[in-house]
Amino acid sequence: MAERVVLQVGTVKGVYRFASNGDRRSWSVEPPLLPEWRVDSMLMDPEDPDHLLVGTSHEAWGPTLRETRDGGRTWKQIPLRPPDQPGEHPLRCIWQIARAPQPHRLYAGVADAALYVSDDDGASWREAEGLTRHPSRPHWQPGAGGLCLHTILFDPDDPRRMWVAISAVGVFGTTDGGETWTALNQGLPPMTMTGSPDEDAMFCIHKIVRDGSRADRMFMQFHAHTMTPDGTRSSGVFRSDDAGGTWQAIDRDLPLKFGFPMALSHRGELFVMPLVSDENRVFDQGRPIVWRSEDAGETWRRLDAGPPDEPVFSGILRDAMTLDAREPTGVYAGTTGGDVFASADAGESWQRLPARLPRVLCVRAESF
Amino acid sequence: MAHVTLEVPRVLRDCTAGRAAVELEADRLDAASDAIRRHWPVLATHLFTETGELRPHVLLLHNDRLTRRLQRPDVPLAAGDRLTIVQAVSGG
Repeated sequence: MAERVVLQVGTVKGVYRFASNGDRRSWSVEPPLLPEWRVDSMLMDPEDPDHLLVGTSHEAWGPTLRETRDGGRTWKQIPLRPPDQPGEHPLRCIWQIARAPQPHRLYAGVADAALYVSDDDGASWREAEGLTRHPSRPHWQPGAGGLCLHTILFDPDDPRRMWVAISAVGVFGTTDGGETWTALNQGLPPMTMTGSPDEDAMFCIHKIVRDGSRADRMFMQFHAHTMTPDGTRSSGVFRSDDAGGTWQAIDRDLPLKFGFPMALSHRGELFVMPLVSDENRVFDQGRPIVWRSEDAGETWRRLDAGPPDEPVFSGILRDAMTLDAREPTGVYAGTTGGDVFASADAGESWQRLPARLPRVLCVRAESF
Repeated sequence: MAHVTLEVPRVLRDCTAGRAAVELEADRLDAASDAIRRHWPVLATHLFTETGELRPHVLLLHNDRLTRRLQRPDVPLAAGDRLTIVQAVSGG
C-alpha cells in the first residue's frame, strides 16, 4: 500500500503541494513554490516526489520551462526556444508537458499551437515541425484561452502513434512518429464561429483522454455550443472506438454538456465536471457536480463534490481535474475560485482541502 | 568598450545566478542587448520577443531614463552607465 499521496496544484501564482498519508483524508499544504509565476502545466516524476517539471509564464516576462529535483528549493530554467532562434509563431505559454513511451523523450504542447520534443528528459528541446506543417495550419483559430495545444496522448504499445488536441482547431493523429498528421474530427459538430474556413480545423476540443486497456478507445470533452438562434446546443461528450477516426456523442443523460476537464482511471471510470454553458462558465447554481460513468458513457452517476452548506460560484479549467492510481480511485478538482475538492472513493464522498488558493490552472497527483 | 552595469529585478535573478547586477561590455545600447543575449540567454528569453524587441511590458532604463523614448538603438553608452530592467506598471 502506498504510504503517501502528493498533489501538486498549479495556480496563477505559484504551485502548491498537498500531501496525505495513505488514507487520503488528512492533508497538509506547503507554502507556494514560484509564487511570482503562473504555473500553466506540470509533469510529476512517479519515482521521485521532489522532481517536478513546470511550464511557467508571466504577463511581462513570458514563458519558460522550469525543473526542480529538490522539492522546489532550487530550480533550473529551460527555454524551449533560445532567444536567438526565432520561431515562426510566438511562444506564449506551455500548456502541457508529457512523458512519451520512448526512454528520455518528453513532449510539450504550447500556445501558439505547436509541439516541442526533447530526447534528453527535458534538458533541450526542438519543435516537432511535422504538425505545424499541416496544410490547415494557416486557418487555425484560437479559442478564448488562446491557440493552445493542450493535450498529448500516446500509444504505449506503438511509439509511432500519437494524438494531440488543439483549441479551437481539432484532434490530430500521427502513425509515423510525428512526420505527418491527420485531422480526426469526424462526427463532431463543426463550429463555423471559430472563423476558420477549413473543415479540418473548426473544432474546439477541450480535453481528450485515452483508455489504457482498450487501445483504440478515446473520450472527449468538447465545447458544446449553441447551434441555432433558438438555443439548440450541440453535444459535448464524445467517444471514439477507432482511435479518433470517428466520434459518437455519449452525453444523452448528462443535463449539462459544456465543460473542460475529463479524467479516466485505469479501471475505466470516466469523470467529467460540466459547467452551465459556453456563455456562463461556472458550476450550475453554485454546486460543483462531478459525473462518473463506468460503462464508457452509456450511463452516468451524479456526484456532489462541493460542500452541502455553501455555494461555490466558480468554474474549473481543462487541466484542473486529475486522478490518482490508488484503489479506490482518488479524484481531485481545483476551481477557478481557488478551492480544491478531493475524493478518496471515486467521487462518492468529498472534502475541501485545507487552503484557499489563487485561480487553479492544473492539478497532478502521484502516490509514493 | 564601455563597462556598464545591468540591474536585474528580484524575480529574474535566477537567470543571473542570484546576482542583483551583472557587468556588460558594450559601447551602444544595441550592443548591450546583444551582450545580454550572448552572456545571459535565459534572462534574454524573458526580456525580448522572438523578433528581438523588448517584450511589451518590459522596460529598460538607461541611467534611469526610459530607453523606449530614445527611438534609436545606437545610443552611446559610457563607462559606469547603468541599465535597469523594470516591469512596466500596467493593468488596472
